[in-house]
Amino acid sequence: MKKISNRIVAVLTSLAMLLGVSFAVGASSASADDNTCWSTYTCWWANTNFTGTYYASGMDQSQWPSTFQNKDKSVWNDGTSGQAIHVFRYNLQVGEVYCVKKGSKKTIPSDERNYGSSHRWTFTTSGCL
Amino acid sequence: MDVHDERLPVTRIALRSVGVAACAIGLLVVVAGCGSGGTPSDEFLSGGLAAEIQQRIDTLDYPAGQNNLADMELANLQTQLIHDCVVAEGLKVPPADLVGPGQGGFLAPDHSTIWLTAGSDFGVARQLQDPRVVALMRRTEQAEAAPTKPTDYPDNYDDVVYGADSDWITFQDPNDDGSTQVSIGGCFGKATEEMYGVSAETYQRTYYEKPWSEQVLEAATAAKPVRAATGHWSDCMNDHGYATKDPEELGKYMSRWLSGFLDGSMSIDKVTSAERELAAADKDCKTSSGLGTAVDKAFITEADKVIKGKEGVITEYRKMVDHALALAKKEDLAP
Repeated sequence: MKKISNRIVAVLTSLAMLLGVSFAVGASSASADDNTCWSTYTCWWANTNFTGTYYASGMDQSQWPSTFQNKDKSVWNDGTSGQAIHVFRYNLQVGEVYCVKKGSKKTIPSDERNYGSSHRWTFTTSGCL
Repeated sequence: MDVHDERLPVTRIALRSVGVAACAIGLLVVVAGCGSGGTPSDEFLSGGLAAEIQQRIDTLDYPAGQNNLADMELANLQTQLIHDCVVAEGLKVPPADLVGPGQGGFLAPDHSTIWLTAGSDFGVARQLQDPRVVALMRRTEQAEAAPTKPTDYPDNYDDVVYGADSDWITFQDPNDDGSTQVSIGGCFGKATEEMYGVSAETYQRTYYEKPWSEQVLEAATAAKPVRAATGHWSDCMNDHGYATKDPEELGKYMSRWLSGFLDGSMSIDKVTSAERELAAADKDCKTSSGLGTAVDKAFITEADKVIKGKEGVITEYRKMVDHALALAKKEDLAP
């Protein structure tokens, strides 16, 4: 079932690309849903339901692509280590806004969404909700 | 000691520093302030409140408050158990993605430190003196390539790890419109059960029902007297030349220092000096506005309320974590 939806998403994504859906620079991609967040990455979406423009990263980043900064509304930590992903409102990992444990999908609450500017993977997971 | 070990217990170190500093200063602290309103108080510098806060954080965030590396041990145990399960299911995958002590901690202070303490610095410039920290920062500056499908993980890897769509359960945040979904099936669910000695669903429900210091802090900073004091603190900080709505916004200055350091426009000495000035203003304003004492007391009050109200779930969670830590000790995992 998931494989089929993966294929559908892949086709739709390709179509979106052909139709000129805007891409964010860096480790970002076009519209997609959570089936396209590959393992080893954490993915953020511009919609609350894991759809829309997304940004994926498998590394620590001191500054998000300008096209995705302050657009995070949902997120899935699909990393392969047990590390949580910590998201910060300022560049260079300053001012933590929220964190997401390994495997968790989070619809970011209103008072925390649209702040993401940098992130870091760390094993510090206590209280990541 | 790894540099990141030093940064990990930022709350503990900062609170302890405040206590020591306060003991040295004692009653010599002059509650002068900037004349921006509020009820001045330097009680938060006495060390007594800091000790009380730390005690509650230790209870709320067990085991992180007492063992810097407990989170690492738990993370590695989870990784290894999921890996073993996936392999047992017949998948060929890379070795377990274990992490070391260098992969924890942050350069800038956390929420608790920035709200509940006031010292002579924020620890930023101090850490820049370590070349390993700087190297790590520079690495995170490198732009990342567009995401590519990992070739060393099979297509059905996520299905085996997380199970079916029906294996996911959702926790709605009672205070806002956020929610979190987590799997209790697949290898993820099996690993959770093995780690914590209870069903995956029981563990997850306990985790999300249990109060955490972050939530307590959120409630404390939202309390009416604290909000009023925050306004006075903000006015005072403006008088000092820092346009900040609340202590969280102090981060924008730290981020600028770090950027300046990396692009060569700020030396460590300059960062040190800027940091001390900001810390002095923060301390002065937390005193004159009464924010320091108000937020500390509100934190303690709120913490006591939730600890008492959720005593059972806190105890249950502690048992689960102890089970996992004992298993982690037995496995002794390291990258």
